Amino acid sequence: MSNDTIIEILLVEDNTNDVELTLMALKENNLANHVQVVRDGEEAIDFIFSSGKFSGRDINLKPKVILLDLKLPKVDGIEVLRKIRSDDRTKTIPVVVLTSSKEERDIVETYKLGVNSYIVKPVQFENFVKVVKDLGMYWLMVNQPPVK
Amino acid sequence: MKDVIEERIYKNSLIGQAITPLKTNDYSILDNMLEGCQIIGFDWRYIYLNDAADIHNRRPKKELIGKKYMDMWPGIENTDISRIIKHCMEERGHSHIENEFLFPDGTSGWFDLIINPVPDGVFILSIDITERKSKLEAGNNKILREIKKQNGLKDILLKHSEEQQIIFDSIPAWVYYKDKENRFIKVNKAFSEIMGTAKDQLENKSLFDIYPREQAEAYWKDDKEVMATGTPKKNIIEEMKSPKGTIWVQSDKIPYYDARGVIIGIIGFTIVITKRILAEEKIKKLNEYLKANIIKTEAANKELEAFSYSVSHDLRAPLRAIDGFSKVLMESKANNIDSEAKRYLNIIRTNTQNMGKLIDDLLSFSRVGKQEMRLSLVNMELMAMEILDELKLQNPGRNIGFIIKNSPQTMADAILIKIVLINLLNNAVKYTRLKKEAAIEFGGSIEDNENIYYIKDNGAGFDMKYIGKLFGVFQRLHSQEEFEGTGVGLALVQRIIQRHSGRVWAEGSVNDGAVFYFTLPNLKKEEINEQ
Repeated sequence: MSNDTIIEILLVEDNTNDVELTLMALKENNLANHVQVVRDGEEAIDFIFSSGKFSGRDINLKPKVILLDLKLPKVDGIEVLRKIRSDDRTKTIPVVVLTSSKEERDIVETYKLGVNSYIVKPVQFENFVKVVKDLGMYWLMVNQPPVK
Repeated sequence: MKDVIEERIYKNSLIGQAITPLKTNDYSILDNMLEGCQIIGFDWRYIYLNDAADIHNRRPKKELIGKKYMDMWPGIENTDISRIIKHCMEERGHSHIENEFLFPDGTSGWFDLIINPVPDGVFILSIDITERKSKLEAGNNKILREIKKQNGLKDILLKHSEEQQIIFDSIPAWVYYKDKENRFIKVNKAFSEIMGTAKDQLENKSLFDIYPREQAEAYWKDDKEVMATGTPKKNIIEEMKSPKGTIWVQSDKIPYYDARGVIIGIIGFTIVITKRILAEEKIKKLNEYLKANIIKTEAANKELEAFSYSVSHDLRAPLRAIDGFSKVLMESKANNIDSEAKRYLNIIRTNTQNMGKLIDDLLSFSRVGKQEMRLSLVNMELMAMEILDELKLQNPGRNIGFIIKNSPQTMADAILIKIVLINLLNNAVKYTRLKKEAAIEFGGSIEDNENIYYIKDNGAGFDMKYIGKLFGVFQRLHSQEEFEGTGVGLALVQRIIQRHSGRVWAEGSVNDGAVFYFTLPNLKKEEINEQ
């Protein structure tokens, strides 16, 4: 198992600009080394469950955190979250919803499904960087995953 | 004893003819008979009378023997009995009659008379049946009285049935009885009126004589079912043509039992419910209309929801990109960005951020209408104090005098009311920015049916002629350079207060401050104490 294959952050985001800004924000905080970006819900599921184009991946190598947008092509973020939480192999992976939507029903629904955090992406870049930094620090550095 | 005698007499009478060939003058055999015996000669003179005849005639035989019958009984020649004797005398015929004999004193007696021809003339055998007759008469009288009595009863019954008829006809429903053969036995006035036909034209008529065939068959089918099962059919509702136009009726069909409990027909009871049906139809139409409107509203709401979701999600993403990449560009070392270019980039960023704020405000404004209200007791004074403490921290360089007066509590949605107070107090702080000494006051009072609260400042104020624009969405009375803002705050305040069934208004003048008032539900003293 080489260090290169370890994915610490799975970023599920279809918006190219947001991907770039998020990666910039992570980089500013030295958190961008082990990031995998997927562009829709289907890819996200393939990666997490080692299927489709990620079928060679070891399912036991879980990301430390999944940053999940809600409005995604093919399979939406809530469906992805539901799949993660309903499978014993993946249900302990921390999931942070990072989205533009402040819709109450999205917030309620994702918390019902057991999301670890719900963050609305700020418009102002400085704030955005701060948010990404905070969540990266917390989930990668501070949080201790349960021992399997 | 008497019956026995009578029987004997009767036997004798049957054998009367055997007695007939009596020898002339040898009548002694008759002397002791209990029946009266008298013989009248062809010259109408009495030849013989026995003792019993004396009693029947109420006069002794010595008065009569040898005397003429007509002379002894004046006026008798015109009676039936004279004619019968005459007939017997001349034609030698037999007779057996019951005869009432009128005595000269005015009294009368009933006699059973057997009249037979004898060689000497006519033999009359008499049996006194006065007693039997009077008994019979008494009996007859009794029967007569009974009949009379029954006639009286009949009168009463007649009267009852008249009363019943009146009641029957006064019932505003249609009532009728029908027999097993489908004929109307009796119908009431309402029924005949609605049919436009006289009662006697309906009674004894069959359903088929009155209704069109198809309709009659349908009714008859129902009737037969009720009579066969003994189960009433109730609340039959139907539309009918009547001389008065189309009507709606509701009918009950009940089996008609006689005294022995046998079903002998149908009792029908029908009421006109046209008004009710029309009202129901009106309500139905109204409900359909409302339902259609609700569906429309729901569709509109869904669209609005989808729209605001879109706005919240899709409009903010490009703004984030514009802001983010502007920032990246400004800090990029590869480009020679001069100060003027940096200023432009800053303008882009400020506007982008303003738009982000605008979108957020607009979304919270649209959400206010949708969210469910959670009412609780709100301490307005305390809430205002907390907000002002926060505002003081946010505006460290400012000299602001805050006055918070005693204010009543209210029942309201605490989160929404906090948005109201934040907006109004924030405005007060914002618009007093140019004053050296800002004065902001919050207070409230209990009025008749509501609490009135106010927030007063000595700031920029506004021109009352623009009051109509004050609470509109995106309406601003100051430029962005003078006072920043999105123009959503007061619209939001108004919407929240209106959701609490309250009112909001303002007073102000340019550079002389403004007062914003709003009302919220009033709490009675005891209600407050209970809390």
